[in-house]
Amino acid sequence: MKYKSEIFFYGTATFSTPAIGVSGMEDMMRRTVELGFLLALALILSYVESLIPFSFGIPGIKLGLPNLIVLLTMYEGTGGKNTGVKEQSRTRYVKILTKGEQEALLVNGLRIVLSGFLFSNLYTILYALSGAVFSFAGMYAGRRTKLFSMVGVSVLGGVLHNVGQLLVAMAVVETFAVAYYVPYLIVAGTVTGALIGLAGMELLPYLRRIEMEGEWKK
Amino acid sequence: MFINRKKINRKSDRRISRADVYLAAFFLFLALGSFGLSVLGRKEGQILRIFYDGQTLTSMPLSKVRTRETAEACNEEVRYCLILNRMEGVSCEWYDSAPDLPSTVPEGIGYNLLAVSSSGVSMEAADCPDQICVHHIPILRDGESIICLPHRLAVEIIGGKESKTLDGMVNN
Repeated sequence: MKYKSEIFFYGTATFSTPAIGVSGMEDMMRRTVELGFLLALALILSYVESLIPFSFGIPGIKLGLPNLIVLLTMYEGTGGKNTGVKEQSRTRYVKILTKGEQEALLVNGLRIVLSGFLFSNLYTILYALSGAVFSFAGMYAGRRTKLFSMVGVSVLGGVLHNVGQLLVAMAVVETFAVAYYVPYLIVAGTVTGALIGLAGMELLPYLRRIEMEGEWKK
Repeated sequence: MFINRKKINRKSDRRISRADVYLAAFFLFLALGSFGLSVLGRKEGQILRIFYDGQTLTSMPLSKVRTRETAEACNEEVRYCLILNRMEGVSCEWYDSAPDLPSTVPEGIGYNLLAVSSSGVSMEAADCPDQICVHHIPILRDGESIICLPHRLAVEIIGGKESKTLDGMVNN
């Protein structure tokens, strides 16, 4: 990825305040750019998903394309520092959320709010947010056990997303009648989660290989 | 994210672990098990019940529709239930033929049009934003339901013991 406007970034960096320091400024700018990039990708994917007619007569079954971006953000994070769970556990302070996980939450939350206002309504935003919270809890737990690869983490996320949304639906309509969806939704979550996980697994090395060509030297 | 790493392609990230396969298999078995359970305990439902916000709006035995159908032979009888979502409350009216929506539904009021026939209950039309309920497959069996989340509406089919008494009441 080549930044056409690297002079702008470089220029701003030299005039940065001494308190933050040049490298801190550069880090922040880089994170901002990368987070914006990820958010744009996630937004595009959720728009693409809304275009695909993908109806089985059972509500809630969808591909979950934006989750690909969330998954990649969770594993990689932005900036130059390592964000993996393994690296984290070697440092003295074990944070509750790694940088990548915080950013995954941020990107997904913003994606839902923005796509909700762009393509649908407030009710969908709340419903999608609840699914996102459940899905994140599943992926977080899956990562912390250190048993699963990206596919397993994504499967956990997909299944929990569906089950969580079903629980919310039960709470909203105050009926248990939707419980017969459970088998369908578990199968759908497993299949789509595995597909997204496989795609993420293939994409991750390529993302790591991309080098920024702008000069970010101190 | 876009920094060259020394450890590109860490092997642990590029391989499906055994735990993944077990996890997927576990979920599939779980789905199969719950599906089997629900199929075993499932029979044709007796009563159509419409919920709004956790309260029963109306319940109607499906046998009403069925007996009509057998009486009039091959013509499939479809009854329509129009549920209007007014500010002061929800009303529910039955029609024998499809109502003309623009004339029966007042301006600014949410509606769901339910089609009830012997082959199943389905949502014919609704003005909810996501239209999930309209795309839902027809429901017929005990315990199945269509929900419309934006209108907080649930349509479900129930069976069981109380159906007998209600059937008796209808036959009388």
